[in-house]
Amino acid sequence: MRRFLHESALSIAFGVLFVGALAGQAFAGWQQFNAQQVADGLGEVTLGRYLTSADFAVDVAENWQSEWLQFSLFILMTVWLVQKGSPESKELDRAGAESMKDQKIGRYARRDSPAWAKTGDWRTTVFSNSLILVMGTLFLASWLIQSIAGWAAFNQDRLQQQQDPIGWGSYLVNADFWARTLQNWQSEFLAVGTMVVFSVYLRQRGSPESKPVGEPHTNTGVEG
Amino acid sequence: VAGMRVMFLVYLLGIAAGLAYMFVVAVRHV
Repeated sequence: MRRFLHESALSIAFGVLFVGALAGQAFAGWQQFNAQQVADGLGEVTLGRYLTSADFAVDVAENWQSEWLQFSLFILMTVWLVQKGSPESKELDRAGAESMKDQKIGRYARRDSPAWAKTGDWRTTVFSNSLILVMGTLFLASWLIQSIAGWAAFNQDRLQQQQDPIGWGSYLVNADFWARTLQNWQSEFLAVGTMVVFSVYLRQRGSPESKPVGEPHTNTGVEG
Repeated sequence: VAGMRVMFLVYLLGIAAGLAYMFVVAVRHV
């Protein structure tokens, strides 16, 4: 058990942070929702009712989709695009999908390589892109859920104001959907860009996200 | 090795459960 906690400390720590933050969001979101209910002259709802509301679902989903979009783009764009000096980038002359040998695929696979790296057929193609396939699917699924939950929440507000509900297609071109979407995307793109650029000149001793402290600024693709 | 598999499945199944929950909640309110 101690060995498990040590060997998985990073994923456990982020899992605990996630659950704590989500619980905090649920509680604060419930308080905020009820404050609005009172302001609108409506009754307060229980926490259970809030957690099964479209308002809670859309708030969670809109943040989830943007995180997976961020990593999907980061994974894909770093295959072809480089940044001189950044540990997040490959060396400048390695842009692209790289050779079978470099990637240890097919007959270049090692004895302890994953089974699907060795076959050299469609399984290798699938496994070669499995990270972007899963992250991309999670992005699309959570963005779809955001659109449905956001649509339901939007129509509930309209009904309370004696306005006709709109269709899902209309919601997809509505400012509410795009304001929720883009306010999340802009911060993700800024954060990734910041990481790529700042890691050229700044260091964190001991972090694999940084170059070694004494590594020259001009060296690319070196992780500490 | 078993620990790595456990964390992989915890994340993957946890996310799938979260997405399924939000999907059901969303569709119920449509």
